[in-house]
Amino acid sequence: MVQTMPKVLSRNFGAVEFAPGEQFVFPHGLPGFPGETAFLPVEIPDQLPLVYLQSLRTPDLCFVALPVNCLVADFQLSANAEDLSLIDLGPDAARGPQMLCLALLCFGDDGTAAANLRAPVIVNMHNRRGVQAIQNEDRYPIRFPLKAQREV
Amino acid sequence: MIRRRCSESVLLGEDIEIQVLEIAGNRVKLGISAPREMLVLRKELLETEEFNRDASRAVPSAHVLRLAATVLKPQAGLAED
Repeated sequence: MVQTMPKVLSRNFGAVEFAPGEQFVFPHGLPGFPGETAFLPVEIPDQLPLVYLQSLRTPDLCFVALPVNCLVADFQLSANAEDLSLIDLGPDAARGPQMLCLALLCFGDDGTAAANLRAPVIVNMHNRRGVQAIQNEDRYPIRFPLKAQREV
Repeated sequence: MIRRRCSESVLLGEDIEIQVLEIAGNRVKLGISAPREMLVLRKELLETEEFNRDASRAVPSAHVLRLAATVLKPQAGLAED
């Protein structure tokens, strides 16, 4: 019996096949998108380290994201315990290979881009559960201009 | 501007009370009493919702390609160790 791979429709990529369990699950959705609980990470080799987060529910919803360490080498995550617990991480979980930490990007009409470093998307890569963790500390801005990274 | 000490309150209109519950370093714990229909949000949550709505708009691929080519340094992606 031939097993068919699940597919997601994407405005960016058309029909994309993916392995079962490859998607990230956000139990509470994302702020502003509470019903969007599953996103497929899509990487394009010549666009690395950019990561697309394609909604499994809404073909038109596809975020562009970037690992925070591409912007701030020693990024200090201070997620609250409830957010970490939601994705089965302890309050002292250090950021390591088991935790992916992405900043969502938004683009202006002129192509300038900003990254949300205040509220990164964190994913426990062991269970692929994720949450957008709004940090209490205001060390990082909600709109971090990307072109400024070379000056950091 | 109103100065308040721990356990003191501010009233907004007749229905809303904001009380200083705890002060520790540069952090303040507030207790907010308001009618159920009144939405109480941390400002950064609202700002993140706004950011996400902006970020959800379709992005011309030229903008993304330019970002990838000119601003970002090539790095590993999601590969696990």
